[in-house]
Amino acid sequence: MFAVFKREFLSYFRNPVGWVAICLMSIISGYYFTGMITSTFAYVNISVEISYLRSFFIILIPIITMRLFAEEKKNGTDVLLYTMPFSMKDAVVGKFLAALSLQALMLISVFSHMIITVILSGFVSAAAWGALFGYMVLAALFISIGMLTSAMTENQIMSAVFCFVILLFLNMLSSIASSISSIVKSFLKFTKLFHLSDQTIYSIGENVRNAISWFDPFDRTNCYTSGVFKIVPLIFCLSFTLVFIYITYRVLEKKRWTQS
Amino acid sequence: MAKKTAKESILQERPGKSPKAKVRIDERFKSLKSISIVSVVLVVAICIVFNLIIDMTLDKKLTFDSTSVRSNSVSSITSDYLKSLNKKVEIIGLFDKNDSTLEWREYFVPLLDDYEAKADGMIDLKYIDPDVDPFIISQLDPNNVYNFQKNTYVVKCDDMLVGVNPYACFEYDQEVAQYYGVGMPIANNIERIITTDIVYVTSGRPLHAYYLAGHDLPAHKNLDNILMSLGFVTSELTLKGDATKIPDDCELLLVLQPKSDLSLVEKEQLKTYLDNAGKVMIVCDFSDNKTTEYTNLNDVAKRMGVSLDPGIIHENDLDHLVDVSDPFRSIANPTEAYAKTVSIPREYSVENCRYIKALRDLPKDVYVSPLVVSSSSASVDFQNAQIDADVSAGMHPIILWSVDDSTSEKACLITIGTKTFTSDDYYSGKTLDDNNAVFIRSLVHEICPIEFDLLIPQRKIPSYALSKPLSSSSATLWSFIVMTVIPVGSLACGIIVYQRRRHL
Repeated sequence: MFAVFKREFLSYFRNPVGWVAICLMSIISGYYFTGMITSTFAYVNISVEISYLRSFFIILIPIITMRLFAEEKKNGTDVLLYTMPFSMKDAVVGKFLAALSLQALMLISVFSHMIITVILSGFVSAAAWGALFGYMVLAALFISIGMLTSAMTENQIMSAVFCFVILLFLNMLSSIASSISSIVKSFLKFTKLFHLSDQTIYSIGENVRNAISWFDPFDRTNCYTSGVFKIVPLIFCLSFTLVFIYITYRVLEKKRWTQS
Repeated sequence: MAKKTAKESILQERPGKSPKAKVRIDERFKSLKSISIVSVVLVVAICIVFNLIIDMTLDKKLTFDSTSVRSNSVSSITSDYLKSLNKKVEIIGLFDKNDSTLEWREYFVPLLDDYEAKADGMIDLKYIDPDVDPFIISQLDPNNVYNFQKNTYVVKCDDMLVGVNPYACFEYDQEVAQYYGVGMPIANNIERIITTDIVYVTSGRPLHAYYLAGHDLPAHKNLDNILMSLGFVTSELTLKGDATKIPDDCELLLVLQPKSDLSLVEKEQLKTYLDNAGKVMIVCDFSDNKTTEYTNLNDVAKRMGVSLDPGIIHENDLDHLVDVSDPFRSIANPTEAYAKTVSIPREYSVENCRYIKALRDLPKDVYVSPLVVSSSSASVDFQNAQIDADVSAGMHPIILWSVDDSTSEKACLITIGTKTFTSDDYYSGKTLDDNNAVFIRSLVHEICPIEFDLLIPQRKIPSYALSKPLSSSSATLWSFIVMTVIPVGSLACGIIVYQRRRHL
């Protein structure tokens, strides 16, 4: 596993992808940080900056993960993965950890902002560290999703597009949940199905909304940015990360046997 | 033509294999596919069920407050109170819990979650957006008595309701508000307000305190907080016209720093209120009005054996002065007799104290006692060189307590000659642990039938503003470093790597 991790992690820096990702991240975070230090009150809250960065997952994660397996397929080196003397699990976990490490490295700009804030006599609260933690937990989940799309396609662009669409969907899950809830309520009200009272229709709509929102990882990890440390969102994200890693493993296992 | 599946291509690309072997491979693919699908479905289902169970059982228990001032947790005072709660309380947030445009949300949501967690099922917390459920406001308040608005909270127990405006739960930086017209919160009173509201809705008979309006009533947020901590609900009262009267539920009437004298109607209402064993607190600072003699207000005070005069207490004892160059800002002390009866601090900050005195000829059954006094060498300066021959250097009262003993329920008047016990100007930058605040709490506690005494501390909001403001040149320098050094550095590395390795 370590060999795969090392190879994959270093490969990010043997081509421009890793550098470009770091550059992109530092520009986005730097832009926000500059806005804070030059504002009227010089109000510098790192946890807000990290919350802002979460909305760029949909761009950064596909860039990082698109090549994980799709490039192997394109270069024909995927056969090596299937035939090397380590299990497919090691390959999957190694690649996942490499992408996660790159994501962590991309936070170097945020760390530099923390240091600058302290130098300028600002305040870095526990919420900032909580936000960083929440960011990494979300990153792990999204990387596992990106890795799965990379394993399922043979084209990097397709992989990136699929990953982008899934992350966009997750980003909009709250709005989607509200829309579906409204549709359900309107439908029940308009068709007068079961002759439900307004209150019951409202309850059904809300339950539908809550059921969909239950899967929203952004909403679940919001607590970390306000200084609340919850174990349950952590379990949620990590367990689904493991699920996506497992599905990736199954997809590759299937491909491996298909090739034999 | 449909693309060949991997399975078909393998079967076709192996002409040497016997039909039996083909069938074996086909079955192996089938079983592998089935195993994959079943295992994935199973793993996803287990994951969802596992998370649902964890969510339902452990969500509140496995929550920790990592802030330095514990701003997301209720204090031990509230926690103890919640444990003793014996009525179901509903707290309804009239907004979308996920609405990130509500900047106060991060202070309310985690704290109220903690209320729910600590109340052992006695508090039910809900978030209902009136835009999504338009019936909610009419359900809560069918007669539109409370005028509940979106983006507020409602605390409800049986038929008792109270609305909470989130913006009113914060203390704002006065300087920033003055210079920039922006409200920058520096502290929050969320817990104090929510707990008091729970006390209010669960108690059968809430205490009401009214501020007499119509005489340039000053800001009184801190006094509100003190009264709220004692279970009071406060509101303003305008007494105009013969029809208006002091409400029956008025436990305490506050006349704060009136800039003008009372009207005749107000005078009569206050006298009637005192005749019916009412409790009045008059705060009449000298700096508010130096010349007015407050004829009508004095008539009310005289009913309780007190007189308010246009003089200011001049402190002559250097040990009592806060600033030796200002004889009107000093330290006052409780009288020995009063200090023996209650546990209170021994020093209070006072300034611009109006000269108040007990009448020589007290009305029948009225007793007046000084509670807080100046040093024994203070004198009184009168406006316009008017001299009261009776006044000599000595100990002068700063707070007087008058009681009418003629009825079974005693009427009571507290007369305070300085605003430093009640005004927001004084309490700005101080906490309610300040000596003056402690005294006023103790005093209200004595004169009113207090059931709850929940002094919940205010939560300071950490300031994220840089303590050393940046000059424009240093801001530009830091912006340049942040926006250029790391991005350009990493981009340069990327270009170099690409140039060197593009032919590999």
